[in-house]
Amino acid sequence: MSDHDQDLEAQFQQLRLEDAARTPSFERIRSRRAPARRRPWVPVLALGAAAMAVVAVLVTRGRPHPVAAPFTIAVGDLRMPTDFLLDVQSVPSIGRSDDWFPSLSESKGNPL
Amino acid sequence: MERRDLESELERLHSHGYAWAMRCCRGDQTEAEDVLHLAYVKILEGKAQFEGRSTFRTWLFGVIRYTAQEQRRWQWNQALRLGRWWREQPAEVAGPVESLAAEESRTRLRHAMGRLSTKQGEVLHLVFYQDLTIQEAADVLKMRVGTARTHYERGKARLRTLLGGRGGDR
Repeated sequence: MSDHDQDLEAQFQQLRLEDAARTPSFERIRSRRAPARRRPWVPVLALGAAAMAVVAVLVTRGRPHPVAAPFTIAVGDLRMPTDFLLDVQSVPSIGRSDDWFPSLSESKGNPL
Repeated sequence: MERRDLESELERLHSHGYAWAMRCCRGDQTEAEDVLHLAYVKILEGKAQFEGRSTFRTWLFGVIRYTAQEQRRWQWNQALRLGRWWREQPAEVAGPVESLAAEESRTRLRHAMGRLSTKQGEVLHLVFYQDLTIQEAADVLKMRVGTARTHYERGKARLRTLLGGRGGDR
C-alpha cells in the first residue's frame, strides 16, 4: 500500500469496524452443528436419467418409420365378374353329338 | 501446537477469519459460518496441521479458502442449490435509504468490492481489509507474487473507478 491509498484504507477500516460488530462469537461458530453433507449421487443419477432419455429420443427418431404393408389380395380371395363362366356345369360335355345335331328321326330326307 | 494454543489462536483471529470466510463465500453468511466451522474442526482435529512455514494467520486463511472451495464443489453438486442461489442473490439496488454518509460509503465499498473479479476482490480484501502484504496474500491464494501484484493494481484502479473516485492506477 502506498500513501496514496490512505483513502481506501480509511474506508476499509470503517468496514472492518462495522463487520466486527456483526461477527458471531467464536464459541457459536466452533460449536455450530456441522453442515449436512450433500449426497453426490443424486445429481449423478439425475444426469444418468437425463442421458438415457436423450439416447432414447435419438434412437426413436433415428429409426425409420414402419412402412404400411402394401395392399395384397390372396389369389384364392379374388373374385372377377366373369367367374361364372368358369363354372364347369355350364360347359357342354364333350363327346355327345346330340347337343349339336338333330336326331335322324327328326331329320328324314336329310342326306346327312 | 497444543489444542489449547490452537483454540486461543483461532479465537484471537476469529473476526479476521470470519471476514475472510465471508469474502470467500461471496457474502453468504450461512455458508461462511459453515465454512469457518469446518475449518476450525479440521484444525482442532489435526486434519490440517500448521507446520510453521508461514504465519499462523496466513495459514489459517489458506485453510479457510480451501474449505470454502471444497464446500462450493459440494454445493454445485446439488441441483436444488440453484434455486436457493437465485433467491438469495443480493438486489442490485441498495437496501433501505441510509441517511448517514459513513453508512453510504460502506455500502458503496461493499458493492464495489462485489463487482470486482474474484481474484482482484480476494487480493484487495487480504491487503486492505486484513492488512496482509502482497506477498502474504499471494501465499494465501497460492499464486506468484507478480500475479498477485497485478491483481492488486488492476483491482485497485477498478475499485476507484467504481467508487467514482479519482480513478487511475497508482
